[in-house]
Amino acid sequence: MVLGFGEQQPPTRGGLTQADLVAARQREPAAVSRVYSAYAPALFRFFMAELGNRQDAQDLTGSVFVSVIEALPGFRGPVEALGGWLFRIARNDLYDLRRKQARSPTVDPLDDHLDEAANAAGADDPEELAIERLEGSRVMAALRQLSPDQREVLLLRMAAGLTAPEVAAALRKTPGAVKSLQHRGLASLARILGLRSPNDPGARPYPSFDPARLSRTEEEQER
Amino acid sequence: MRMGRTNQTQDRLDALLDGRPGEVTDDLAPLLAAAEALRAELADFELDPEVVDRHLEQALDRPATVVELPVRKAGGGVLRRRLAAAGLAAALLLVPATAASAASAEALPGQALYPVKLAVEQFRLAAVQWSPTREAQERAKIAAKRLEELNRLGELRMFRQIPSAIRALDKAFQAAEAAVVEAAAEEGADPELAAVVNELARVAVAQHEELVALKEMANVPSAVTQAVDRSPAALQPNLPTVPSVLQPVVTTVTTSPTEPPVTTVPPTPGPRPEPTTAPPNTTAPPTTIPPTTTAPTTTAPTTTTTTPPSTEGPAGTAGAQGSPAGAGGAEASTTSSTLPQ
Repeated sequence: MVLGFGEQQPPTRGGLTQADLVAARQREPAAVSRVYSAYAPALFRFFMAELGNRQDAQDLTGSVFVSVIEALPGFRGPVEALGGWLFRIARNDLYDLRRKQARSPTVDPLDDHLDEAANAAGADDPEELAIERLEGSRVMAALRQLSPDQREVLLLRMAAGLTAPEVAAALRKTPGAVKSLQHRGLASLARILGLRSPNDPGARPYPSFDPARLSRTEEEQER
Repeated sequence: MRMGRTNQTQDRLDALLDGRPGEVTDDLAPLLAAAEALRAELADFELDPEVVDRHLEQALDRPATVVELPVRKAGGGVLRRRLAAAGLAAALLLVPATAASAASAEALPGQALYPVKLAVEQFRLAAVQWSPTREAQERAKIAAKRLEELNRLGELRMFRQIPSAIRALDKAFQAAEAAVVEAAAEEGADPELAAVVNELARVAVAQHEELVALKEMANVPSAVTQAVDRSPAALQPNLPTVPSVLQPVVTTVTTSPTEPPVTTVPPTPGPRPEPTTAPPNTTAPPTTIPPTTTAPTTTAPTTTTTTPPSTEGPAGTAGAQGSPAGAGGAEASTTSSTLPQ
């Protein structure tokens, strides 16, 4: 009935129904909590991948959810369209936060975070642990090399679990454009990660119009 | 021409990413592997369960501003909910920010924050679905909360809420019991599960004491006494079923060795240990135990939920799921049946 964390999403998210939507508009606590169960884990994954900071990602998940519940009476679409609409809000709020952060570059109490993180993990070297966290894995590092467009599409698809049409609605693009970005993004990701089909010679470039790809192809040729 | 083929490839990739059928060609295989790697990476990001209460309360706290006119919706529902939202906002103002998430934890049935409390419980349950033991723990906690509420309602003489609170406690107890049986079937003799059984036994004894006390109160409405009489814990503690795999691990299912009511439980055929050792949580002095020894042993078989050992144990989840509910009560059948309203 209600989705657990980290699960792949079925077509109707968390089994949300139109009746849930109506009830959530009226702040029916049970319905609001169902919407939360259906989307909060996805929101958090998306923000976590975009921001790389747990605290910020959790805070933003909470504030976006509040915005969503507040704006819900204005959402007239069917429950199937909720995901695209919701992540449009999520994206706007994310950009607002980034603008705010850029305008007032506060002194980040990194040392506090380091000690806290080190204590939590029982690690000897807080710095090493923090670097590991900030850099994330190879996959997250590779993701950062993609164009912003491609990265966003991939995160909405993979972190938020939206379908291509939902991503298109969230980004105000056509589904075709989304599929194209997703194809190019995954091709770049595969190349950066060194993933190749066994039958593939490897040098053959994937069909792509992404200018960012060209520089990487040159790198590859050097190898 | 070329464009058309590209589109086709992109559509095929999209279908495969969604889990729809499609041919995995050489050109797509590395892309799908990259997508899988990314997905696996992202799946590790999980919300802390602690923030959930805060987020939900924040969302429910804001007074509705854009909602349609109240007259359009059924009855005074919207108005009532708005008042509830206002009540929630007021309650949040009264507590320090750090304690905000605990505001709903104290709520009683009929109070503004109570639905939030239930919603948070449901969310927590959903979050621990992956582990039968964690679910049993969570359900036992819920049963203990229902008991606390019943105690509080009794203290405050909030009689209107008491009959439904009695039923809610019985349902929560049965759901917890069923969750224990299910977890035992899946995970065997887990000491954590044994602790859950002990906690449920504590709840059962305290529930019985509370029901007796309620009936003895002065000027109790008949609705309350009727509700007490209908509870399986009315005559004696409705002790939890101990799944046979847990019987070696569960040291005792009673709260106090000196307690008379326990002796009225019919001896089960299984190797149920005698209450010889005192558990750590003997906080209540034995003198406070109400006179419940009058319950004759002949009524015991109808009021206990002890299932025959033959239906328990590692007989598969389907059997384990059915048996305790069938014995415990007809309405609350499965583990997922405690959704409020």
